[in-house]
Formats: sequence, C-alpha cells, structure tokens
Amino acid sequence: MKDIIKLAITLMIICAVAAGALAVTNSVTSEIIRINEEKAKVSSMQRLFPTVDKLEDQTVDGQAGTVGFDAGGKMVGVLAEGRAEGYGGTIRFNLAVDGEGKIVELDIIEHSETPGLGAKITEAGYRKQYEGLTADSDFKVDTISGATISARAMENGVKKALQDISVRFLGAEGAAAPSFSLDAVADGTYTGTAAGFKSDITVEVTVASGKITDVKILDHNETPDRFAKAESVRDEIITKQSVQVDAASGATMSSDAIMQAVLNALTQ
Amino acid sequence: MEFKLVVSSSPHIRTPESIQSVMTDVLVALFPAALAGVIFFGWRGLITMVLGMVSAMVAEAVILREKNIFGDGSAAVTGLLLAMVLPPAPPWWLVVIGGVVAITIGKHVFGGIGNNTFNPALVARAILMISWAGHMTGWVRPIDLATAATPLAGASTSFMNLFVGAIPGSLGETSAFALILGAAWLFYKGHIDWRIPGGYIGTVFVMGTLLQGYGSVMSMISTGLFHVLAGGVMLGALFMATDMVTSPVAPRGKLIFGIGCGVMTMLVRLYGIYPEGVTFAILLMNAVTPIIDNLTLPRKYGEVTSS
Amino acid sequence: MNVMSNFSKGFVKENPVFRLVLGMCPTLAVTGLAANGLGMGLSTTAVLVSSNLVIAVLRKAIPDKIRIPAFIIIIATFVTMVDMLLKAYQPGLHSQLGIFVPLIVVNCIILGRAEAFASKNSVTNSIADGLGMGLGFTVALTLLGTVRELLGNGTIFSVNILGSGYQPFKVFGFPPGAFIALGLMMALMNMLAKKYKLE
Repeated sequence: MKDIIKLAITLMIICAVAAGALAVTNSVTSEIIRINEEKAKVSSMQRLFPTVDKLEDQTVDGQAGTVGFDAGGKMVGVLAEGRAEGYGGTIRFNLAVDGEGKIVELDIIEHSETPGLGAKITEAGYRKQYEGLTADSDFKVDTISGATISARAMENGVKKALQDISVRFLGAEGAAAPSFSLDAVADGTYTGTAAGFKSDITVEVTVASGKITDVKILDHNETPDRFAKAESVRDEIITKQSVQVDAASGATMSSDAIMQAVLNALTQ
Repeated sequence: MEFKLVVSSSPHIRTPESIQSVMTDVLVALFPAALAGVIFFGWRGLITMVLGMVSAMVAEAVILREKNIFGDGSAAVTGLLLAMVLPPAPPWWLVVIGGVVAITIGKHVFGGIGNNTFNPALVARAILMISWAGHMTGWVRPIDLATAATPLAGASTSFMNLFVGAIPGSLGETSAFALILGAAWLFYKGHIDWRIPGGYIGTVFVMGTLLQGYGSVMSMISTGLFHVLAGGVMLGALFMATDMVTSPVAPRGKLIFGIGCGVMTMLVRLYGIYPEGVTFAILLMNAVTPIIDNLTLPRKYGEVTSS
Repeated sequence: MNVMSNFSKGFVKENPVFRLVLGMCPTLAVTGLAANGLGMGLSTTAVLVSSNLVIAVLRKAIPDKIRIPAFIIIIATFVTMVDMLLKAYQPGLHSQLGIFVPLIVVNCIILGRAEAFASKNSVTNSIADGLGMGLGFTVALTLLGTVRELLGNGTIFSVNILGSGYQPFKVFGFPPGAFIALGLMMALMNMLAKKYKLE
C-alpha cells in the first residue's frame, strides 16, 4: 500500500513539472503563434489582393468566406471554398475573387483524382487558365488528356462556385432564376443540351396545349447505372410541370443537367 | 503378400517437365495474343514486345552472371507479359525501365525464380502506372492508331470488337479470342487449372451484372459481359493470376484466389479512382496467397479431423 | 564505452534506421523531400537529447515499476514543446511536417534509447548517445529524402539537378517508393557492412 502511494506521488510530481513546463512554453509561444497566423492570413490575402488592409470572416447563406477591405473600407476581394464532384470523389478548392467578380486564383485544397491524370488539376499551369474568368465567361479551358471527367468537373464546379460567391459576397444579381412560363411556349417539340457529369446531355421536350407532355433523352454518355437514377427527374418534370425538381440522390450532376437541358430547350 | 513394395532411394520418376519447357509452352500460348497485338497496333507493338523481352532477359543475365541469355526462359515470359500490359506505343525508355524493374524489384529482390511473392510483370506495371500515368494511358485505336479512350473509360463499342480485340487498350489484352486460344494450349498441357480463371471471370461477370447492370435482364447481362471482355480481365485471369509461383497450390485455394481477384478488380473499377483494377487486384491477392495456402491445406491421406 | 564512441556509434554501427530499423513511421512518411527529412531528423534529435538528459538525471529517482509511464510523460512534454516552438518560430517547416511532429512521441527510437541507454548511464554518456543517435537518424532520413527527391522529382533540396527534360520516376515520391528506396538502401548498407567487416 505504502509502495503504491509512493509510486503515485512520484508520477504526480513528474506530471506536475511537465504540466508546468508546458504552461510556460505555451504562454511564451501562443501569442507569437496567433500573430503569425494572422500575418500569414493577411499576407496571403495581400498576395492576391495587394490593397487589402483589413480582413473579415463572413458567412452568407451557409457559405463561409474571408472578405478583404482596403484602407478606405472598400471591398477588394473574397476568398471562399468551392466543391466539385470529380472522378474519385469531392474536389475542394479555394477561389479568390476580386471586387469585379474576376477569378484571381484557384487553389486545390483536397482531391482524390487519379495520380498522374486527374491529379493534374492541381498543377499551376492548369489552374492558371481560370484566372481572369468571370461568371459570364465561356468557361472553356484546355482539357487534360486522359482526364476529361476531372477537367469537366472542375469547369462546372468552379463556374458554380464563382456564381455563388458573386451573388453571396459581391452582391451580384442572382443568376436569372428560371422565370419562364409555360404559357409563353408554343406547342411543339424542342431540343436542348446541357453539360452533365461525363458528357453533354441532349433532351427533346414535347409541349402540347401549354403542358410538358414528354421529355426524351436523345443523347448522353453518362455512367449507365448513375444515369438510370437521374432519369427519375424526367418523370418529376412531367408530373410537376416544372424544371425545378429535386435532384436524384447519387446522380446530382446528371439530374441538374437534365433540368438545365429542358430549360434550355424551352427558353431558346 | 502377393507383391512386394520396393522402396528405392531417390530419384524416383523423372518428369520431362522443366522450367524451360513450361516457359516455352507459355511463350507459345502467348503467341496468338502477341500476333493480334501486332496486327492491331502495327510494328510499334512488335518493337515494344521485343524491347520488353530483351531488357528483361539482359537484366536477368546480368544478375545471375549467366552467359546464356535465354536462360530458363522465365525472363522472356516476364518481359513479354509486361509488354502486353503496356500501351501499344510507349516511349522506349518506359519499356526498358519496366523490364529491369520487373526482374530486379519484382523477382530477384525476393531471391529469384520461385521465391517472388508478386507477379513480376505486374509489379513493374504498377510502378510504371504510378510513375508515368500519362504515358501508361496513351491508348490508340487499332489499325489507324488515332488516340482514343478505352471502353472502360466510357467509349462505346460493339461486342464483336470486344471479342476480337479491335478496341483501344493495352498491347496484348484486347483480343479475348486470341487469349482464349493461347490459354487452351496451356490448359491442354496441364499448366493451368480452370479454378483461377473460372473464379475470376465468373466473379467479374456476376458483380458487373448485379452492381452496374440496370434495366432488363438482357441489358444487365450485357453489362456483366462487357466487364469480362473490356480491359485486362481476360489477360489477367488466364495468364497473370495463374502464375504458378504467386498463386495458391490447393484446388480450394485456387478458387478462393480467383474469386478474390474478381472482387478486387470490380471494386476498383466501380468505386476506385482508376478505371482498371486488374493489376492491383492480382497483386493484392498475390500478397495473401501464403495465407490462403495455409487455410486450404488438403487433408493428408488417412488424416482424421480432430473435431 | 567512452563518450566519443557513445556518440559515434549512432552514425554507422548502430544507425537507428539502417541497422536497428527503428522509427520507421517518420522514416517512410516524411522523406519525400530532402528538406523534410532533415527537419524531421533535427526535431527528433532535439527531443531525443532533451529526454535522454532528463531521464539520465532522474534515473535514480524514478522507481522501476513506473519507469515507462514516466518516460512517456517526459517525452510527450518535450515533443509538445518542440511542436509549439516550431509553430511559433518556424511556421513554414511546421506546416510541412504537419502531423509528424506530434507523432515523434511514438517514435520508438526515443523510448528505446530512454529504456536501453539513458536509464542506465551517466548524464554525459546519455547526451552523447542521444546526440549520436539523433544525428544518425537525421543523416539517414536526409539521405533517403535526397534519393527519393532526386528520382521522384529531379531535384535535391528543391534545386533542380536533372534538368527539365527529366520525366520524374514519381513512384519514389509516394509511400510505395519509400519502402522500395529504403529496402534498396538497407541492402546496400548490409553489403558495405559485410565488405568492411562492421559486424
């Protein structure tokens, strides 16, 4: 018994000394670490937006971003995260957008694309192509040979992220909500195309007496099993008579593409 | 006692089979697929195969300090198999590095022929694939040699093309017909057992049908069939997975090995980041071969189970 | 065993990486670049010398029964201190090494030297041992990092050596390449050891 108490006390003393040493180190370094981090953040923003003077973290509509202001209090740029559905999974990237809505830098944070192929999206030469693009740009960059899916995912993902950031942080007009009315569409068949996960999807929409009566998928080259899920969207569009229906889970990109293609068909 | 059993000292029966004769049989069996490769991909395919064989044989001769460059023939087989899993026209240095890596890191690091854990040609392919993915996926269309995607990456093609082999892909993997023809020879000579290719191809077919197939029964089956014919499953199942050194010995073990290869291949294809998983599947199963061998020891003659 | 030989044994004869095969986790994980290998080696050396020193001082005060927990606490304290100091004064290196600094704590070289040497020897000898082992570890990691960076990236300490035409043997930059490179280097070390009769 006495032995155990002696052991416990010895161990306790060692622990107490260790804790004390750590407390001292922490008190010395924590302030320096904080200042370092602050400096690193500001200097990384200054690299992107040279006139930045003050930073502010904002969250708009659930999206977090760091907004930079110059000495006069004018907003000069935003740094926020975006996502894309790549070949191997979700690609997370940081997008730096200036006050005019132009992309200043694209930086990949995390991805699981194939090494040597899809992973080329992280290379500076590829990312540079996005610089200077705005939400109205054509968004066609040189694709990566052997990694069409990853490149396509990036194009779509960056475009979407840029639109979101422009609307949420820069106060741009929201992308014109699909405000068309079926009444304005004359009876007939229309074809439209939109970019899906792997390929362009072309649909044929039939309108009769002010109603969408049929949606046919004319052409696509999506993964068969995923696309089968997305096809439920087609029926939804007909039953709800709307181009804004819920995307099929597991096939978001293909679903969105079908809706977009229908919209494109009806508004051309 | 009508007859007496005579126990003589060894040797008992001499089999005419030697490493050299087996390897020669394998080379003969690979000939149809190699010929198909040359027909579809032209003289550059031939150069790739010759380069692969020569670099592997030279590496082997240097390591063993052997003057006879053909040696026991195993290096030639390794080099040819390596060339067959490369794209039709890779840069020359890629083939040479592959041949040397296969013989050194794939084989002699473990102690030479009979001691290697992993299939040497596939070790080399995996290393090349990780290092130079761009060169390793330089697929071209047969005959006109224009760059193209493999069917596995989404390019559509007919079943006839898949069977004959007129599709983009590795040099020796495209023609299911030529591979089956060659394997039939090995089967006839008794060098391979139906269980590994059977388990492998069967699993790929079943998983492809059930996991990716959709719609009518016919279209589900055609998805399964597509997974069997496209990519490297045929070459892998018939010639790579059946490698005597790196696959299990017992019949039950062979079946488990084949099924395991099939499951791994389909997991990579359907859920992984590479379009093709044959290389990794066979290498992974090579790694567990000793465990499979231990678990599937056949009952000794006369042995009574303890339970 | 004098101080000098306690110091020098860590470099070749009892090199922690090539001869004792200790501390494989950092050896394989952070040696993609020569600079990372050097940084990891030096951080480990700092922890190893400090923990050897403290443990040698306290070796008579720590009862045998609780020596392992006591060693772990001492080592963990030093690792946390190195982590904080690096973060404060070398933030660049700290973010490069990432999770591997806290992981020094489980590096078996440190506990191994504490148990096998510092708990039985004088303070000077323990410092010499810690310094020798630490620097031996550093040399090995830097060597491995240099080979892997040269083959996998064509550079050494981020200086381009092989020219822009070199097509990097990328596998050496990835974990499988770490195993292959380490295995080949160990084979080379064994061959040299046999040749010069170091056994």
